[in-house]
Amino acid sequence: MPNVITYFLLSLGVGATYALLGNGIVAIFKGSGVLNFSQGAVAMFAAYCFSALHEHNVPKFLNLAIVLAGSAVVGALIAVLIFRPLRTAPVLAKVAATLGLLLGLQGLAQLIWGTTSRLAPSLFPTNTISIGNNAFLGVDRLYMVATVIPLALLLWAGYRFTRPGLATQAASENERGAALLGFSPTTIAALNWALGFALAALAGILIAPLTTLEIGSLPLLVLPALAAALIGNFSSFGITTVAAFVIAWIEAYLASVWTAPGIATATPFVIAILVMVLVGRPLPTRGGVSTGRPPRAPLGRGSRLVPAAIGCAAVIVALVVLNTTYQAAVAASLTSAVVALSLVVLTGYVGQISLMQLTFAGLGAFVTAKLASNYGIPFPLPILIAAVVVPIAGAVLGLPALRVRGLSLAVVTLGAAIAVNAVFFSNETLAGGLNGVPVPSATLWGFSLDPFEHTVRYGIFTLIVLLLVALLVGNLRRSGLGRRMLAVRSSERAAAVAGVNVAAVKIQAFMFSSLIAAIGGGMLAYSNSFVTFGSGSFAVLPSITLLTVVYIGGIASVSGGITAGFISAGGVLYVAMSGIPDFTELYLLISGAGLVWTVISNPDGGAVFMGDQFGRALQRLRERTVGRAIAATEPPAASSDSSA
Amino acid sequence: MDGRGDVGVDNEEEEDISMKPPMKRTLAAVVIALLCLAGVTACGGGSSSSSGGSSEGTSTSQSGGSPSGGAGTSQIDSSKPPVHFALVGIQIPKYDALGNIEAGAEAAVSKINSEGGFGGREVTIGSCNSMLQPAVVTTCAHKTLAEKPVAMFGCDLAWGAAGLPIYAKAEVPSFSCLNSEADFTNPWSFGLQPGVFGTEAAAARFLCNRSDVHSVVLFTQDLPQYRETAPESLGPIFKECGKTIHYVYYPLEASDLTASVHQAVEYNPDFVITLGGGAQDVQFVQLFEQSGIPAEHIIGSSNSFAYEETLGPGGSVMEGTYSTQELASWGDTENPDVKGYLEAIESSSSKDPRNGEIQTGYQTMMWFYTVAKAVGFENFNSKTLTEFMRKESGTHIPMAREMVNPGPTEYPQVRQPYVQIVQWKEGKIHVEEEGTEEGWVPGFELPKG
Repeated sequence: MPNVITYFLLSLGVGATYALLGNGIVAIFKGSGVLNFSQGAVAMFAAYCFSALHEHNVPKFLNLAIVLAGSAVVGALIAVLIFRPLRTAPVLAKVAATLGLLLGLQGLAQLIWGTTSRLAPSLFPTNTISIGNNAFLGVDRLYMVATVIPLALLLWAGYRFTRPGLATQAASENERGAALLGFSPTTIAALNWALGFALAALAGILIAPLTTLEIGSLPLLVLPALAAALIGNFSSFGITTVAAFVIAWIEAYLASVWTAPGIATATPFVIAILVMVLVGRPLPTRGGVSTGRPPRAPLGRGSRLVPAAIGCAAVIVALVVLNTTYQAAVAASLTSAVVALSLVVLTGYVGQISLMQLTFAGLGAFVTAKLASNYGIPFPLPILIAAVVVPIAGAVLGLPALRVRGLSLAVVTLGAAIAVNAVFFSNETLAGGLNGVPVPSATLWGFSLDPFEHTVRYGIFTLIVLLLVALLVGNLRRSGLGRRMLAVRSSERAAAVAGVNVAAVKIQAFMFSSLIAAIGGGMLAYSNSFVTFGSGSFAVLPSITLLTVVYIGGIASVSGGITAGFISAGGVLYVAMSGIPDFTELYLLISGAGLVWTVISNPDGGAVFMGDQFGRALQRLRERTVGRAIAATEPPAASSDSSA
Repeated sequence: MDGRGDVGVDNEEEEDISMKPPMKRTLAAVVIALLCLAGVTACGGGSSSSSGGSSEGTSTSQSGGSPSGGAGTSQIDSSKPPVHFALVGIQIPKYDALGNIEAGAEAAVSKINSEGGFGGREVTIGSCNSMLQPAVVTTCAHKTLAEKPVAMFGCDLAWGAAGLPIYAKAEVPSFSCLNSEADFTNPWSFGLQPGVFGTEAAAARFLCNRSDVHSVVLFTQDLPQYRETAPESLGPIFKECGKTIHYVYYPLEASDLTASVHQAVEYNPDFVITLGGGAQDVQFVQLFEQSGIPAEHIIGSSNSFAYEETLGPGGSVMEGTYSTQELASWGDTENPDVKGYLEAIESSSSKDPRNGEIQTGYQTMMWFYTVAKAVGFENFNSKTLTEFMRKESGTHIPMAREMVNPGPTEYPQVRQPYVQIVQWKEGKIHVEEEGTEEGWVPGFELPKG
């Protein structure tokens, strides 16, 4: 038997899992227009529940029924409690909420079951059969295929011939029209979320015996499943199923013939991106539902000068007064804030959902470190050169944004982040593995800015850079380009009609954003004596976490980006709160829950909310002061008249 | 307002405050509470007290048996300055190199303090979760250093880049797991164990001595460090002994490894070396056995013999497999150090002691105890500890062989380059004698003379 076929057979189990997860994503998307990034986390959580019940000797198929039913109920509840209030929210808010779910489920699982990997019970027999070429295939893989194919057919038939299925199809094309015909959008969404969660749970229960139960990697199964669903245009169960098996097969076969690091991981995403970009087919949009306003992008003129000056003074005092722990935390916060501001430009101003900001930062760190160590270019030239070079990569990686937008772009940037991390950052020859790339200590005009020897000086340097970048981003918001960016964010079509060159604005945004990220990356490089790429610092999960904290801070405002720096891991708030027992174990759960809460209750972000509160308090104070002044200047006769 | 600024957003600015007042009040209250909490903990975090201000807690419990060799006094003298150690490790959803090390170290501390600490000086530990993020590693380094530790121990992949320079500047030694070049060469870094590099090499030397082995496959995760170290450490050894080695890297993502195992089997290996660890090892062994490679022809890392994760749940599947142990295995019960370790964990922890990481935490603290006793408890500090590590040679390291000084030529900071080879047979650990020096194999080429 040719090797190609052998590897196809060996990849059946994984293909079946991708198909279940992908079809769940499609069902949820059809039912509610939400692209569920937490599908893999749901699978992980359900697999743990199944294993826990198994340990309590619950019979296998009763256990399965309990977990599937429980997952369906949770799915329906999430649809009602979290996504119903977000029904008219912009795409970004919905994506952010599913990312919050992902982190929250991971954090919860970590609290309950710990981080240790464990063996999972199998639903099917585990004996093997020979398939030639010295290869053996577990019978359970065949059972998985025998489960998944009929399920895909059932899904196709269900959505084509049953009343709830037809209602979902109708709602996916025009939600308001479906509502007029008597279909409740909430019920339709809840049904589809329930189905999607049940499919994810089944996927988790089936794959866990093959991979072991583990909190970190099971949620990432969503990535290839997204690629499959993307190829199926988030609407076809059949194409998604076929794509899932093909992706699994490509992964398995490529790993055997092309042993360069990351190729097998990256290839499915590169294919999905190419398909997406070349076909240029947008994801189906839901007609009739008005999209809520995006997060507010305050102008931030003169009145911000005072808070900015107070903030700078506070940072300088903190750097001078506090101990080295907090000095380092302040410097780390300021550096993270620079990277966060890159996301404010791209996602906050232009509405382009990017899950690859740390990829740009990583490229900036790489260029900076290489120039500084290999060519001896003195500080700060390597950072400046990185800020020139990386935007070229930004423009190239931003090209897909000309063909796709919204959710599709989120998936494309996710794929690009995975591909760059797998092929470039994880390549020991290119990026140095765990040894990383050494970075000489920064010196400017004879002054050492070494972060270890002179933490205060280094902190002030990061403050100056952040100030410059914040000024740049603030001025961008007020400039003509900034207004064009906001116009594109509101409506690309309307912007084009108004004469805005949408393509140029998007590419400029990608270049501008990657420039800022590259500066942040350069600062990250100088913050240690080595910059390591192989430990996953610039991988996709940290990028997702970055989006989380920036959203919580305020994704469309400069103050939000700066706040994000202070609440990110390693930042001041993080360090201060790490004294709380078990805080680091709770960090994921708090991040996830915080994001979901922010998305629902305060989509403009914490910084904008606090700014508003401060402004109102000031206004009230002014009104009272003016009121007292008026009362004081009133003639005494008036009071005597009234008393009379 | 500048009318041009209205595009897309500002006409909505008026409605931006559409939240209901109670929600706003709740949010404001939570933010204020968080800030207050942060302020309070910030004040606490700034102190250098040995029993407060540590990020994850301090261990000072008072039970257990006596430390090997006996102690100077039998009670803690509160007038004497305590001896503080910093523990930095990773605890994230995918990986935990903190919890188990901490449990072992706390058991040792408990045992030491119950016998009067370091000559009446109380021993304490402050731990920090570095979360595998260089920024947090830096934070942990600063934060733990503020508590004035004698030394740091633990494990983070980025310690060499982000933590070691800070400790080196403060002239406080690090006893971290060895991953990067900085860990192996920085004069303030010390390896009490040989690390992955050493265990790979030791497995290769063991297999070189076996006449029934001609072709070997290294089957490991597709991590940059493994791609970097494996060919460097294994290639020359197998070449020297005339055997062949092939490398198969399996994906990090959750995946069915049948295809990767098939890829390895296609090389027709006589023996397979794995570096995975955890529950996945049971799956490898099962898959290799199904493909015709028996468990007796598989050797794993020390993690592959973590009882709760592999040997226990794996049952008969693991029967016959080998493992490279950086310390004398928990199953080597004839070893008095191991015996003391098992007793200490059983008396002070709910954890299963049959775990290499717990052993590591315990062993490191007992090593500090050994050095403290040698230099004099009163004199024990960062300086005397470092001097001892740089000058002394031949001292017995608990649960390991003697200390070597200077270290192997290319890896001068390794102080214990030996690895024990063990086999899991009939529910027990058997120390392999054939082809070893009393069960030990050098992981590195030791300096001559």
